Amino acid sequence: MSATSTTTSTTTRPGAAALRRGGGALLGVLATLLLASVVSFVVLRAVPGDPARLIVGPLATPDVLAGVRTQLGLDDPLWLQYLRYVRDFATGQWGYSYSNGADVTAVMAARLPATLELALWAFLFAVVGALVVATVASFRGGAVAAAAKVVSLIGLGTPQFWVALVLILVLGSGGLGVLPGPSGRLTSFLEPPPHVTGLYTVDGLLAGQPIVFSDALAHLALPAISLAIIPGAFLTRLLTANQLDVARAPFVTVVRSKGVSRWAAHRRHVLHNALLPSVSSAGLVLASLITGSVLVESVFNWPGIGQVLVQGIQRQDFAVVQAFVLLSAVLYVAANTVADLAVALIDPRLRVSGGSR
Amino acid sequence: MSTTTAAAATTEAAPAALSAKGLRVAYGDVEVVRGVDLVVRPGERVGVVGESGCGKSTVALALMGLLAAGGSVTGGVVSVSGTRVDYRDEKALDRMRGSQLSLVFQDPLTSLDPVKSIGAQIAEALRRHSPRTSRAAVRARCAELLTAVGVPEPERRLKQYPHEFSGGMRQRALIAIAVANDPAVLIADEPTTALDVTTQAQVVDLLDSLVDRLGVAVVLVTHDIGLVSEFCDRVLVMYAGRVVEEVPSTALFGGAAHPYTRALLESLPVPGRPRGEDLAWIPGAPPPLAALPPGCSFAPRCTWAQPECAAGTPPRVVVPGAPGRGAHEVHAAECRRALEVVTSGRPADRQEEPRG
Repeated sequence: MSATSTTTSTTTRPGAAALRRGGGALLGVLATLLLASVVSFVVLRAVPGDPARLIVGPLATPDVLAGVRTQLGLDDPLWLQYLRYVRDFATGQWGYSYSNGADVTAVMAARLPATLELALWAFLFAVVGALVVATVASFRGGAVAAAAKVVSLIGLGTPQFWVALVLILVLGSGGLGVLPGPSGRLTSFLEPPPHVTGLYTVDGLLAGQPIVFSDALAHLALPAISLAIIPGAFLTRLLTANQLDVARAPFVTVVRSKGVSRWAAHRRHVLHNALLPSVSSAGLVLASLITGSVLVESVFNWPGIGQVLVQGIQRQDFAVVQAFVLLSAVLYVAANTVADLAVALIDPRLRVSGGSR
Repeated sequence: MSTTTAAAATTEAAPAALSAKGLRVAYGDVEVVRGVDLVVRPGERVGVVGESGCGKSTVALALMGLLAAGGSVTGGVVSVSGTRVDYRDEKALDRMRGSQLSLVFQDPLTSLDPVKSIGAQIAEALRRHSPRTSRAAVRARCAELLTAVGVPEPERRLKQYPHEFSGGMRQRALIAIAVANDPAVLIADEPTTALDVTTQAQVVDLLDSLVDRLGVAVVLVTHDIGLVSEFCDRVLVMYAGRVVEEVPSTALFGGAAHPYTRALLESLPVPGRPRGEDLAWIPGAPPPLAALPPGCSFAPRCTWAQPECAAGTPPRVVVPGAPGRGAHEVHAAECRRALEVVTSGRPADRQEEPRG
């Protein structure tokens, strides 16, 4: 890699171009969020059932029921409810659980770090695993590539909860016992590390408690692996296809003609070119890991937001489900935008250019 | 140097910059290069011409040891500056590529890594063969190389990326990469095909001046027989995986000895040709290499063909040269009627339909 990374165009106004691109991205983000909020609002109101009835219970009188409905604003016109819902979400007041009265914002805040930590480690496993397998497969080709393809296809078609159960039975408490089973984030006699990020592995390291770190990691390993298999298989397929594609490009032959070995050419040029288009996919994978860990969280008894969501759906807890759906939308959009920005930063073809070729 | 293959090496005083004897290349079961001899002396300009699919680009890639997957050198001896090349020794090949033998590719638009700066791509060639050079020295040498190939403002240009370069500029950058380590031979595979005519002329002029300044020998692979006759000292004409004629470019126009060469020359558009008159063309297409006709592979399309042409492999006929021509400037053609072709203007039976 070269040290010359600062490229500024002297002929165009990069500031204006960047501003235009940023403005366009912002509009897209707002439109997506608007759509997501409308959909979640409408779908939840369209399903049968009355949350007020759920709160007051089957024996309450109609007067009490009507009182609660008024108190919750359920009698107001839908558009008013929608506006109130958007305002409350934007200001961080995500309401109170209809079923147990808990502050949804507080519940989410308390539960999100567990889900985030699980998703981040799963993401790490998926990306590292996919990088290694895809690079080896595309570099070696032949039987290795065919084997990698079969394995990744199996990975794509494997149900998460099944993998989770098998892992627990084989490696966890049910089998070899090398890793803890479905027992939360830490062994019960350990105190959680001082709260900094809420991620036990990170906080454990920050607090200088290697035992907490390794214990948290051991608890994470099985759920993170279960969660990582499908996105890992997806990324493997994507990265393999990209690398095989780039490897056929004429510039690789030119690199070889300089006397660069096949492996060095692959590492420096093929891999680099193949990674760029995968970055935006990786952003979406991360978002889907954060919001898609419901099943794995249930199997491993993981105290994340997934479990809150499941309960919320069962109890028709509008506030919880709405908060989750919108939070998911925000996460998706944020991950997507960050990935796009990252691509724009690391791909020289997107870096400057305000009208040049 | 007559029909035997070993003669050239003994008649040359200095070792040839590049010498290939009986080079054979196969993709699977299909032999696409069938015994090509190519000798390039230091500082010489040699052209290799032929239609698409005649094996000329395959020769270029085979010499570099960079054949696509499935292709392999199945025969022949290749030497670079007197040292025999072992195409199974990848490490030795890597040392040779770029330092002694380098390549300029057909399409400058796809021949540079789009996500690395031009400077990094030139520096890669330098660092590969002299890893201990300091960063500043590499930088200075990169700028020097860009200047040498006619790219203005090298310091600024080195930091730019391929998409900020025009096609002609990219080809110049690729030539800079190719000559970075002062190679003995530069193989240019259709270096001007993807460029517009003005840029073509500039790139050819650049190659020409590099031969004069650096003493690098150039093998110019192209389908453009006009370009070859202007640029090269000697021309090899390839057809269906074989060199069918080897001719000094001074003798090319007017003295071609193979009917195929003659047909190629006649199909060149000439300014001032009367309106309405059809351009001469070669009927038919090159034979599929998997199913070559017996005897001379050009015979089915040849207006000079006789029944015996289809019988046996055509002999290599040496055309007596003009006085004062050097020993290396052999003029020979693989055609049993070569001497007739040289002396006669047009074949008597030219108007007839081709056999086949």
